[in-house]
Amino acid sequence: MINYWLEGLRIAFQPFNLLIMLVGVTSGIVVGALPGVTSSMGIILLLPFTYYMKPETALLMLTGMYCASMFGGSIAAILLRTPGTPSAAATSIDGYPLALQGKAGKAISAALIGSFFGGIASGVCMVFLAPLLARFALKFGPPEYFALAVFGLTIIASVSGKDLLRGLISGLVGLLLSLIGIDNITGSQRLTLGIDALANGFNFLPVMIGVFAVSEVLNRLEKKGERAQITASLGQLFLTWEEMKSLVLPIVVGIIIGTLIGVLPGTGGAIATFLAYNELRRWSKNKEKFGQGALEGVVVCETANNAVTGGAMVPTLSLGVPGDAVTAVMLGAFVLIGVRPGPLMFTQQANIVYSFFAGWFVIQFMMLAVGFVSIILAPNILKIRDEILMPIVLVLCIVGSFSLRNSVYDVGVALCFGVLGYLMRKAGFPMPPLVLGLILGPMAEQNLNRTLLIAKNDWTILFKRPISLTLLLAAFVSVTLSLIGAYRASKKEATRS
Amino acid sequence: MSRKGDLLSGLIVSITGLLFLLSTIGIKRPRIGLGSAGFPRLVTVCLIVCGVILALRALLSKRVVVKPSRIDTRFVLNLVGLVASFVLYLYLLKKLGFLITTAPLLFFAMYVFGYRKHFMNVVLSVITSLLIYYVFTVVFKVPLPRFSL
Repeated sequence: MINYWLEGLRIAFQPFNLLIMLVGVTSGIVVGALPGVTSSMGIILLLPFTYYMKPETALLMLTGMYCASMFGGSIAAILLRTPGTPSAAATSIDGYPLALQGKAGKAISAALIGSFFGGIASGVCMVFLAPLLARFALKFGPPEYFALAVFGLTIIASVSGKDLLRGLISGLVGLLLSLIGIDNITGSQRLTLGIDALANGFNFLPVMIGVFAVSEVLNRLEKKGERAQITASLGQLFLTWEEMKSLVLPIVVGIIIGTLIGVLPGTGGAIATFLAYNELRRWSKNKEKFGQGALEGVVVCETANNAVTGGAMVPTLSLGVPGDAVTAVMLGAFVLIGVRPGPLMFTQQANIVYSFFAGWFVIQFMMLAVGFVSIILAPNILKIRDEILMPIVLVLCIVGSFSLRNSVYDVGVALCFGVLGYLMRKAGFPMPPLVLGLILGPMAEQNLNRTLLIAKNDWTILFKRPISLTLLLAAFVSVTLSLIGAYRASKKEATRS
Repeated sequence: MSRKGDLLSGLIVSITGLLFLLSTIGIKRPRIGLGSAGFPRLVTVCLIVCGVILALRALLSKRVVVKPSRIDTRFVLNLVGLVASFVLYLYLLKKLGFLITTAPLLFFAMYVFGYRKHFMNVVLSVITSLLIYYVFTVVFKVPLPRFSL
């Protein structure tokens, strides 16, 4: 074992490999920060460059891109309210208000620290707990996944802001959108309203670009002048000791939830960030701060986001089952560069596995260093005037949605959802529940369908299996606590007025 | 939101839900499992119920009606212009290619956003389009649409 580690460290610290990792990390941060360019796309775009490299070198470059893009997503989420990656959507809930308060630098610093610790902790988990957690994840069947989706949907209650009903409607709209097109179980068309273009459904990314980025551009058109306020206080980049201390709990929560969610195949960073955010907010003494610009909110999301990376690599490496959408792309990339993930990989390609493990930790430190440079550079985007920046963001949204499948249809989807998102914002409907609905809709439906097929329409199966029962109980408790919280808050407000 | 706004939102939500619910009428329910229509029906019914509650809440609300703020006609014109330019852009993108269509879109968008230095606007629009085109096609190897006869 020690020999494997020594060999892995030797490979990871080769100057060329260090340089390649640096390229991966830097491009990962840039890709993550660009609205509409996701980690998956970044990995795919980087793949042609790795064809002529050794498998372990190629693997390190792709891993650099994978980990750093998770942090990079927070930059756009905080500065522009346009999450660079889907898993950074929750970061914008508190990150953007912080930017509006002139604390953009602090928010990105906190996000970077959270990302670093999330990455390190999930790396430790990947190395030591991988076999154990992977075995546990194997016990999950359709009822457990359905229960997990239900638990995830209960988060709508806490990301709805002041009006639960509006949040619920927004979440239901997201669910409805995720169902349009061809049903995965029977293969038949539904909810297309006779429009042929809707048969393929909506791709998640263009919808995200639309509701978060394009609608923000339209919103900016109406509210000019906010950006000047942010630019005025860009100097606060470093956190105070008090602020650092307040990050400990969010980092711990983010690590636990992020790693656990990461290990479960079929989930991903977006679910982990919203879950972690919800849990921290629920147990926080300062609930009212969340959504208004809480540094803890940013940190918990980014920690969970990066903690997912190592967790998601557990089933990917040991079982060949991807942990989320990005690791699915990583899995494909592994195969393309000659690495065959699975139990045999640990014995037959030990050099690759251990250089990957060693490189993982080097990448986290590299991300910390490059990330701090990016903090100094990134807020400069805000110095560009709205009149120039917003049209450029718009064009990046167009390119981002186009390059997903080289389809003008996706650009149209992004722009249509931009207008819809703008109108929904104007009517007071929050956007995060819509995204949750979009993410969890297919997972909930497909697994409920499978559950009923297996159990021959016997719904009680959901309560007979211990893991699904526990998850459903957790969902019930989550909703109840949120409702009690909302009731208390409205009572307090009524007493005040 | 004003009561009128809530009422309108509630009605739109309910009608949308109803429209999608009606579209599932022809789908048969299988003997086992939810089928194609089971989950959509559940979601649309919930949507209709929530829309009705929102509308009813607005009707029964005792809130003091706040006089709606004056509609900024300039903003509305800008918004309509920007959306129209999107539509035209989408129509021309495949035909004329990324470079020829994006620079005018950028110019127009900057103008709509209030950037009135026309010479700089032209320079910025062209340079930005070229830069984005270069980065995506050459660096990232994304084949953006090109003009061809």
